[in-house]
Formats: sequence, structure tokens, C-alpha cells
Amino acid sequence: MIELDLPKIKSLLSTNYFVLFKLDAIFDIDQNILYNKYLNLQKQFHPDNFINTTKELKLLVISLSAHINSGYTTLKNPLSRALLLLELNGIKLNLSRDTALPSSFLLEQMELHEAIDDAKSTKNVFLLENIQLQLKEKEFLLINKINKLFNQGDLLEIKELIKKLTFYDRLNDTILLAFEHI
Amino acid sequence: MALLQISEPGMSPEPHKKNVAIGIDLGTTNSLVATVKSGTATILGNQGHDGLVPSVVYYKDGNILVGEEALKNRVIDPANTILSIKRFMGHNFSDLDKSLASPYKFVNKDGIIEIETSNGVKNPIQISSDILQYLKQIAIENMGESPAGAVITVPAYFNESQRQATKHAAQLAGLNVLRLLNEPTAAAIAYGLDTKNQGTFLVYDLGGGTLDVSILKLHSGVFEVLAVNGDTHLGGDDFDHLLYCYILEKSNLSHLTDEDIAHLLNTAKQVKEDLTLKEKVSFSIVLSAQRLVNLLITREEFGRVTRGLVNKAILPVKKALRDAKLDITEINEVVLVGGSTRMLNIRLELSNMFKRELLTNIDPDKVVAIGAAIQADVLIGNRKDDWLLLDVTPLSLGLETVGSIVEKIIPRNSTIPVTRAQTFTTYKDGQTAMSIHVVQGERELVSDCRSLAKFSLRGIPPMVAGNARIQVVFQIDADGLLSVSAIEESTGIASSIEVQPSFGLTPDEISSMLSSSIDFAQSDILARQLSEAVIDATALINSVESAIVDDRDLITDNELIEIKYLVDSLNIKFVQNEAVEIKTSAIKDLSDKLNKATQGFANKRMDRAIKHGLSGRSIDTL
Repeated sequence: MIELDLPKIKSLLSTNYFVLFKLDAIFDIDQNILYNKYLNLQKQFHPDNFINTTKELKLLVISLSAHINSGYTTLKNPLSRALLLLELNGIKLNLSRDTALPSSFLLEQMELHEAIDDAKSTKNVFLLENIQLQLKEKEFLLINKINKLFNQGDLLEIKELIKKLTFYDRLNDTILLAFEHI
Repeated sequence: MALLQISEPGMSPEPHKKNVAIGIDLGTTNSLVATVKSGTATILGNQGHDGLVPSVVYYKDGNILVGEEALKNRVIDPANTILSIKRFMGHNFSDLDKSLASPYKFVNKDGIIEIETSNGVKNPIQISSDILQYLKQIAIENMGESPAGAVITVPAYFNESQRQATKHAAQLAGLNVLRLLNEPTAAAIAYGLDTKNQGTFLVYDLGGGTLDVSILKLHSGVFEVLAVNGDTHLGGDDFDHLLYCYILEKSNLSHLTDEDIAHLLNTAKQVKEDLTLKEKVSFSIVLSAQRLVNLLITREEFGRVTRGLVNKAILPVKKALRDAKLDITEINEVVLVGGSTRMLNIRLELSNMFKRELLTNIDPDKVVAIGAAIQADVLIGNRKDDWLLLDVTPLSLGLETVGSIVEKIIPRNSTIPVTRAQTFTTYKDGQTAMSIHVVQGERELVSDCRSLAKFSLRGIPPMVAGNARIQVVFQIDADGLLSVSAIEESTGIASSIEVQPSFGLTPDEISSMLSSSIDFAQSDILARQLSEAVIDATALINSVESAIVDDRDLITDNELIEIKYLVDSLNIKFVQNEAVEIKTSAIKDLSDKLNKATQGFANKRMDRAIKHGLSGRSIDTL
């Protein structure tokens, strides 16, 4: 059983995720290292380690364990990781309002949506998987670009790419929903 | 036995008195209790008994019987012999399926189901508690002491109310609940120790009435649940029923009495079970009016008849894999749990699908209790090689927002514990209270999800609509129990509740909600668009009306007439019955017109506000 270090728990609860996971605040992080750090943190602070403690402390530990879970989810996903990095650099994006993108990109989006609808109505799993693969490739290229820009420190250009990534993210959700229809 | 307990000096078999903890599988049909004895998990049973305790309680003349003894009264005194109480745990009275024939006298106690017995009125928590008390007694008799703590298993798809009810029952039985553990997770733990301790497991749990699929990853001492899925309408009973229909058809049977039906259903079940061992089964039974039925059924026939059910039983596996973002080849072990996984066609389908041997060496009826006992041993602190368990929540949680739309806060399959905060704002000028409605389900509209709890946040300082910032925090702990709190950020006024166990979702509802969420996704989007149009329009009307009160002098009579006309048209439109899409576009159209009609008025108000702001100040302070 691990001793409860109250001040430590309280301070960890208010740290940003990069600090919590003892990772440099950069975009290019090693997923394996992240996962191992995540498991180690949970091994230390999961509420199961504190079965016989006061209710007050238990609640604090639950919050910390939840904070660790949320940190892992945020850092694992390139989109939320990029948004966090921008925020730490003082740049806030309003993704629901600022959706201005080149018309060629929007056209491509519409085409993908139509293709998903087609696959859905014809119950064509193969086609849907194909679109998913295409999307993965596009995402991969985009994430590589974002990574490069982060290395160069070009934060404003990243904003544009992140908007695109958000579109891909939603498209992914649409595909998953379509899979459930089929 | 005493002779075998020779130990090295200073290494007695019990180095120091350990805390003993138990694991309990509180099942619908049968329950079991297990503990870890000298490093091995063992099922505890009464003398000469295999440990399977029927989950039955008999109430008579102030006495309580549990298990086999209780079951004996099923025929002679059905009203006082309570079976399958697990089905009622955490349910509302309104959840009760009145069409279902039942010998019990149900009572509606403030919306909660209770049952009238010869020992007075009992609620499902008390009845479950009597079963747990009995299991605790078995444990005490076997171990010679009272358990220091217990792990109780629940189905992975159990919602908060059902989990709360289970925890209360255990506490009522005087058990110190270390943890509520999902049944498939318990099974994985039981196997995890025998195998290589690394890799990804798929647990396939097919019981009499339900199917539960969980995917877990075991990695450097951590069990991580990646996804759960299931079908609350599919189990061994469905296979019996299909085979029964086939027997009717094949023997050309009709005009059956109730006894005939019961007899044939029993036969179907027996044939299904026998076919797991034999290539073919022949039987002859005598029905009413001396009708003789002679029949031979082969394994191949059974497979053909139940093909559709097997396909249905595989679907949740595919869904769970997709939710976990895993390919079939990434599953290292497939664990079978539940009596219905003895069916060979299910086994064949799974082993073909995963191209590997299935893990069946632990009795599928006992594996859950064994896993629970091992986890209890870890939590009480008896093991050096302990591990950590990271579970997920099976259903999405959300809040009702204006227009009866659900704002999802925690998506299903999120790792628990989980905290999610969401900020909401007031919708009217000077609004001082806000009601928070917590719902559970995958659909977009509140009416299609299950209500979990309602509470209100009062004393919001009066502000202009949209200025208050109310942060609502949902938290699900490691047991899967939910708490919700809300706080107004600028003033710090807080309100908090624990979700009450009187509300709950039936597993049936979960299943139908999950499937209808998919069927209705399209109509949800349309309904959502309408709802949003109504919200926007209402907000616009509110702000226009309050502006007119404040600055009536800035508006011409003609403008006022047009504005009133448009507001009235919108109000009429809101309540008109017509196709959702048409209604949405009409409301949007009218809102646009109202916006344009008030443009001049708005500009004049702005000018006045600026002038007012500037008046009485010197240039220096600007």
C-alpha cells in the first residue's frame, strides 16, 4: 500500500498533462513511452491502491486518477495534443466558429461524405474500409506536416492544418457510425 | 493433513495472520463465493456441495431460506419463493413488464419495486442482501472467520443504479465492499494468471439470456479493459426456443397444452445440451392425448437451424473489436464464460474467426467467482505480484440542454475513473436557477435516453443571458458509480448530488437504446436541427422583447408592427405540426426576417449605449 502524499496529489491535480507525464511539451512524442508512463502513474494513484482510506482522500485520489486518464487520452490523440500545445503557447482556437478553409478542401470533404453515404446505403463494407484507409493516409500526411511546423515553430500555419484535422476527425466518426449501420 | 504442514523454521504456512477476502459472483440463476487459500482460488461450498447456490430466497413465517432449500418451495409456494431477483435490481416500478406472468405480488413504493411476502414487504436490495448473507455464512463456516472484505461481480452492462443497488445489498449483508468488478473482467483475471501474463484477451460471456463481450489488454501488471459490447436479448434460451419451434415443425405438432409446451421446451434444452457431447440425439416423449413424438436430431441440423442466432451472437464481437480499434489477429486469447458457451457451433464459429484454440479449462460457471476472489486478495493487500485494473463505462452519459437535446459528457468505453467538465450558460436575462438533468444512452434526444437524476443549481447571480458560466462535472469512480456536481464559475456557487439508486435502466432498455441509436441516427440529426432552430429563435425573441421594454422610444410604430407580426408567426410555427425539415426551414426563415427587421433598432440601441458609456467621463479616463 502506498502512502498518501496529500500536497503532492493536490499539486499533480493542477499540473498540465505534459508536466504530469514528465514529457517535454513537444508534438512528436513516443506513444510507447507515453503508454508506459500512463500505466506507471495509474499504478501509483489508482483508487484501488487506497481501499482503506478516508472518504475525503478517496475523492481526491479518484480525481487524480481521472486526471491521469484524461491526460493520456489528450496526449495520445494528435488533434487534442496539438490543441493543448497551442494553448500552452497562448493560442486558442475556436473550431466551431472559425471554419474558413480553401474551397478545394471543402469540396474533397463533400466528396468523401458522399462516398460514405453511398457505401452506407449499398452496405458496402469493403468500400467503407477503403475510405477509412484513404482517410488514415491523409491524416498521416497532415500530422507529419503539423509535426514539421511545430519543429519550425510556425504556430500560425499549424492553426490552418488543425482545422483540416478536425474535419478528418469528424469524418472518422461518420465512418464509424456508418459501420454500425451496415 | 496436520502432518503436511511442516515448515522451515520461521516460515510457518501462515507467516502472520492475513486478512481473508472473498469474491462473490451474484448471479441471476446461481451465485458462488470463493476465496484464495494458500495461493489458490477455491470455490467455497456447503458439505459435499459443488458451491453453486441457486439465487433463490424463500420467506415464510419469519424464517428465511436461501439456495437449494428455498428452491424446493417453488412449486408449493411460488408467491413467497423469490427467483432471479437480479433482474429487478435498481429498477423503477414503471420498468416492470406487466405482460410477464409472475407469481409475485409487486408493490409500488415511491416508484421503487417491492415484493409482498409472508415476511412482509421486501425490496430487491433486501432480497439480494439475504443471498449475500447466506454466501457470507458459507464463507465463515469454511474459513473459520469473517471475511475482511469482498469483491462483488456485476454484468459489464450494469448501469449506475444497478451497481449502487448491488453495493447497498452487500453493505446491508455486513460486507465490506472492496470493489464492484465486471464479470468478464473477473474471468480474464482468473485466466490471466494461468497464461503468459501478457497480451490481449477477448472474453465471450454467453449466459441464459444475455451476451457480454469484453476486450482486455494485460500489459506489465495492468489489466486494461479496451471495450465492452453485448446483446441483452441473446442467450441460450433463444437457442432452446428455436430448436423447440423446429421440433414442432418437424413433427407437425399443434394444439399444445401448457404442459406440452413446458415439456417440449425442456426437451429442446436437453437435446441442445446433449448435442455438445453426441453427434446425434434421439428421443421420444408422450404429450397430452397420448400423442407420441419420436425424433432424431443431428448436430448438423441444430447448426443449420440456429445459424442465424450464431451470426447474431458474433456481431458484438465485431463491434467490440472496432470500438477497441483492434484487428482480429491482435487478440491473443479468447476466454469462454457462461454455460451457453458449451454449444459447439458457438465454439466452432469463434475458433474459426480467431483461428486459435479457445480457453475453456476453467469451468465457465465458476470462472467469474474465482477471478473475483483473486482480485479481492489483491485489493486486501495479500499479494506481492499485484496488478492494476483499468475498467471502462459501458454507456454514454450526458446532460439535457435546452430543446431536449443531450450534451454527451462521457462517451461509452471511457476508462474509469473519469471526470468530464462542461460549461453551460443561462438562456434568459436574470435567470437565477438552472435545472440539471443527467441522462444515460446513445441517442441525441432526452426522451430517447434514460433519465438518471435531476437536480437544480440555485442562486445564480442575475446576469444578462449568456453571461453566467455554469460548469457541470461528471465523475464516475472505479466501481462505475456516478456523481455529478455543478458550479457557477464567477461566484463559486456549487450544487452537488449523488445519483440516487431509485432510477435505473433495464438491460433491455440499454440494448434497445443502443440499437435504436443506430436506426434513428438520421432522424436524430433532423430533430436536432429543428431543436436548435427553435432555441435560436426563442433566444432571439427574448432579446428583442427585452430590448423593446428598455428602449421603446427608439422604435417606429411600423417597425414594431412588423416585429410583432414576425414574433407571433414564430410562436405559431413552434407549435405547428408538420414535417420536421419543413418546420426547421420555416423557423430559420422567420428568424432571418426578424433579425433583419430589428437591424435598424439594434443599431440605434448600440449608439445610445456607446453615448451613455461615454457621457460623464473626461478624455483622460478613456
